[in-house]
Amino acid sequence: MTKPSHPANAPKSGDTERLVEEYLRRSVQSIPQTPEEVAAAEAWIANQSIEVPKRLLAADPCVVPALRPSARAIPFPQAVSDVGQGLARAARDGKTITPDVEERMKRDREQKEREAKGDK
Amino acid sequence: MTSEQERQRRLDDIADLAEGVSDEYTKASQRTEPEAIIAAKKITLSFGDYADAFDGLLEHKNGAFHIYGNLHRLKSRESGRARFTLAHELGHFFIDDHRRELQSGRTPSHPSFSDYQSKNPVEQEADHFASHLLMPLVRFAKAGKRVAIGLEGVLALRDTFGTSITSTAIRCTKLEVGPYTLIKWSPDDFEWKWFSPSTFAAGYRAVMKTKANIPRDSATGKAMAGDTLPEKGFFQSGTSASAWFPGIWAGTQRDVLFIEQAILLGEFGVLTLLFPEQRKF
Repeated sequence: MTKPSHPANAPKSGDTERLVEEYLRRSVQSIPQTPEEVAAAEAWIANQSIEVPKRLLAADPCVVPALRPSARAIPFPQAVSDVGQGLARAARDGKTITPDVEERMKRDREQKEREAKGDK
Repeated sequence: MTSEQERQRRLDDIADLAEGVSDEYTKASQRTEPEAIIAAKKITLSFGDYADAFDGLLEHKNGAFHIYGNLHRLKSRESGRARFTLAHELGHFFIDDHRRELQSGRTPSHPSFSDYQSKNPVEQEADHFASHLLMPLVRFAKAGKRVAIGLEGVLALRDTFGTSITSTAIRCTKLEVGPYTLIKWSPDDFEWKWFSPSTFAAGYRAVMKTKANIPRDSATGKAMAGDTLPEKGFFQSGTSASAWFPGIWAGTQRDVLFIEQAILLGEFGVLTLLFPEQRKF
């Protein structure tokens, strides 16, 4: 079996490492180590326009994934009535609330809140 | 993970949460006091006559929570039903997803979802929380080993934990305090059933659901008829597996003798508890 031929323009042994280092330095992909390299790197970076991916523009996905509502969250059932004025309720065995009961509830809550503030 | 497994994991998490809350706020006695937890969380609470509108209601308004207890339905703020209702509303407060929904204002401002409430997962989760808050696993299982089998034990545990008969009986059945089959009858018809793990594993999985087939002189028949209650607080009679379990044929090896106990739940119907006379399968 014939030995595989070596390409004529292939770098000689020992040259590869030097060529890779040279390439990385020129393309500013290696860590600058001398004052000249740092200055060159800063000049190169100043001329670059690096766009942040859209998904990273908001901090939410990177910083607080654990605080976002669980995908397993179960929504409350939707009712026909309005959702307004920052009012939300969860009732056990709930039925229709008549206007007079609504008024009683409002009065009772206000009374308890006054008591909680020490204002009887 | 299947949706059923995911659902179970979520319920397990809710149980852990409820038991953690119970441990934190129940120091000396075995009884968890929902009103003490409500006060500690600075939630205002009012009991009043709110007609037939709800049992209990958690309201979020202007950044603050308030709980309403309806004495028209709960009768007394110390009743087992009242305590369970408050614990249920605390479930909506402590379960993160529920609280966030309420705080976001996305939930209905009107609780008109009674038609499917019992099947509503949100309400089931709050019930699950309440059950574990008032009857934490370790404390309940330990107490369950010290009581008599059947409704006598259920009533003793009800007194210890300050819970309703129904919720205590369900907890006893789920935790295998005895080899129970639990059946709830509304004033009109069959409502639901529950089997202890050993009962289910023994193959007793379907029950007779026709109210008209219940013998008048059985424990359940007497409770439904409103007969004078025996001193022990419930009715009791002997029965056979084939009388209650349609899959069991009369005279076969599995047609064993059962004890049937029943108790009237006032306007809410009747609870039947069945267990094999031998106390095991």
